[in-house]
Amino acid sequence: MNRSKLSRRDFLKIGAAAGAMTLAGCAAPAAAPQQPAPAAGTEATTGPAAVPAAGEIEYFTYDLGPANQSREEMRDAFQAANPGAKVKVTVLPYDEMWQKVAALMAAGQPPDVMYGDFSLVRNALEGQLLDLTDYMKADPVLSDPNQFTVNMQDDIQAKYGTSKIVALIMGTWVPILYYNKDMFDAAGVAYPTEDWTWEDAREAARKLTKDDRSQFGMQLGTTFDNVGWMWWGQKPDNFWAIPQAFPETCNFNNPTGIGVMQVYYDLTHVDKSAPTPDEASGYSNYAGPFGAGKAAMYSGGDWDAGWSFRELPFKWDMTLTPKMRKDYRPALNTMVATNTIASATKNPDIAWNFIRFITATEEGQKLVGKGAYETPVLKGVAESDEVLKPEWAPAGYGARVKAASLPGPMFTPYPLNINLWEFPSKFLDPTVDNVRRGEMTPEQAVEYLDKEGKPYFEQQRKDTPPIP
Amino acid sequence: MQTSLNEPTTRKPWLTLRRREAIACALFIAPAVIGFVLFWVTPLAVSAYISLTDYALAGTPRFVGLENYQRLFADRLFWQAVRVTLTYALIVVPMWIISSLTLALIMNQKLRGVAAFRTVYYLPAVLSGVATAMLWAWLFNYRSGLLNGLLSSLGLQGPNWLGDKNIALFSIILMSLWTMGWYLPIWLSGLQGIPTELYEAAEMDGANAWQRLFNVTLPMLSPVILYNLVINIIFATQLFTEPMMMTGGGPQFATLSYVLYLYDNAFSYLKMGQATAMAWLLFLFTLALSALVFKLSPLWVYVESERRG
Repeated sequence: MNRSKLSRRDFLKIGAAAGAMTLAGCAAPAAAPQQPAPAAGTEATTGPAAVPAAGEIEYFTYDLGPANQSREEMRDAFQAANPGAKVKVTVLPYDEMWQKVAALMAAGQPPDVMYGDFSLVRNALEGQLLDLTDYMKADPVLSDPNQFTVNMQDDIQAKYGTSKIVALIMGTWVPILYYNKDMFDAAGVAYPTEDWTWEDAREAARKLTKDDRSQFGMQLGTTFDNVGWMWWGQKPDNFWAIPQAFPETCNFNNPTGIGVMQVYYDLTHVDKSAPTPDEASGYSNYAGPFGAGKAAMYSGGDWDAGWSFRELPFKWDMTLTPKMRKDYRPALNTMVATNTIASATKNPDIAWNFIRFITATEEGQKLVGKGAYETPVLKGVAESDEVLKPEWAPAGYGARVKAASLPGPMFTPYPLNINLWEFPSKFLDPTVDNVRRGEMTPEQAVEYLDKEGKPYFEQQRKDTPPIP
Repeated sequence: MQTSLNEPTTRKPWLTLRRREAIACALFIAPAVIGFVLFWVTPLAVSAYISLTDYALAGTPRFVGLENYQRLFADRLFWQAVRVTLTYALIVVPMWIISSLTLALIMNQKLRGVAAFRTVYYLPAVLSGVATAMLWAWLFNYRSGLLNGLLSSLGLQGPNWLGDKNIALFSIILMSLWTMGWYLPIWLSGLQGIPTELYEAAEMDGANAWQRLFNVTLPMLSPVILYNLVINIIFATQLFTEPMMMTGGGPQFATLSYVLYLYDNAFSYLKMGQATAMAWLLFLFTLALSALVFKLSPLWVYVESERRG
């Protein structure tokens, strides 16, 4: 049975009953279920989202550090707007969350709603995530592409690799360049700008590095933030297409791929202005050398700002990540944070109302902005001073919103496939590590990745179930 | 045929004493048998089947025959995990046996306060492996760890214990010495079971301490050595908690143990088929190795009852 059809029918019945009661001059009872709050500047919501519902749902989210509090505030605000609906928020360590979700899915008892990244691709392909297509089409806010900084429909389909809508995007993540203003001031080096290329960054990093290795010019974040560039300029429309297109129309051994590896190689091995993996290890604080005040610049993700940078003991700021070439800024590899609903949920309407509240209402999106782990996607909110200028943030904080709104497709840094983390952890990350250690040249690195990637992606094609 | 009620019947009752005993026996052993079938045989059979399928916990398992095994044998990281585990086992098994036996020989002396030392050395055995690994991760920390702090106070630059791919595994091996007290009670019970007359006779024959050790203690302890050897082989091949908590298998897979890679396949990549195939290979390897040790044991294990027989 199609749950969304059922709920639409329910909605029509309830709507008809309500209409009859209104015509009969009946006052609405005090405890009447409320409808989800409409987003700013929109008409009151119609469609399945408005179905009043009572019951409890469980919301799985991974540990987001300080942003965990915003999840609790979302729950409280949603419950206040939807009497009768209860949300149990369960926070789990990142790895543990996916293991638990997989086990609960296999047991037929998954959580109702899951905050997520790319780890649910396989579940989407197996039909274990609720098809939200009808819900979304019937919603005046969600069906209007002009309301959001992302292309809600295309980006979800690209992310989960299905032709259906199985999630709602609640926020975005982009790579960002952070810098320690105190170090720049002390060295008399001009602050980074949005026009910087990686050559500019490299030159500044050289000036900011101390010979005794007590200060580094640049700290390159995890490969998660950076290797997405390797796919720029290549053919695939989205990252789901990479396993299918590899290696005929898409590979690592191309000018962009070599260029990315060259950045790692030059900064770490040639200039020695970035710490080697050994030198970057052993820091107990968040963001390693940069967080410890030992690196002048840090190429990381915008979520870092919300995680712990608000308490850094030095002056810092942020700007767009450097360009690969002076006159060329392709779309940044914007990633999207989503909420999904398990097909097995017993309360699909509450679950839908909840994820819709987070994505398509002003109140929910302001809480996303307040948490600062993701950047809101509802345009009115994303561009508001409340989000762009929180009291703890530096002047350049708005770069995360600007980066997310640069034109281009949604990109994930890794090719989507059914065993998402396997290729990165087995091949990509160790290869970048080798380049940073000077044990591989950029050319050797991309050749190696192509050699390993070919059989790997062939196997992925073979193992991938038919795309629904 | 009709029979009179007064006629004594010659039919034996069905529930004879023998049958009653058999039923009682079956009822008594039923819980154990049911438990064994439900919790041992069934999971074993299911895992054997899963090892022949492509199964990601989502959807239904798809039968692929021996493909998982073929993929493993062609997987570079599988062999790296085998290499790491064998290196670890080859070093720690003799190290555990020699160090813990040496410790037990010292703890077996009639010294003042020896009970307190026995307790101290056994303490790591009752601590959580995860907590212990986290403690050691801090001790080994490149920047703020106790070890490098001590070396630094001596004017020495400590190594990157867990971050250097050339020494990370050896750091974990070094850490494993911490658990040698685990075997202490077994060694002590073995040592205390050696008749003192043997030592007295050896002493009367003029044997010195080393001769008593090699000609009395070790032969008499050989069944305990056999037990500890088999147990240590099994423990060593199941190395997991330390690399999982301290290095995640890195750097550059230098500490990727077999069981950690099995875990990665199962829960990070959701390749349940390959993970169970790895589990079966490990089981068969351990079984074969244990069988070999038992097969060779008559050459060096002294069993008094067999001699008497």
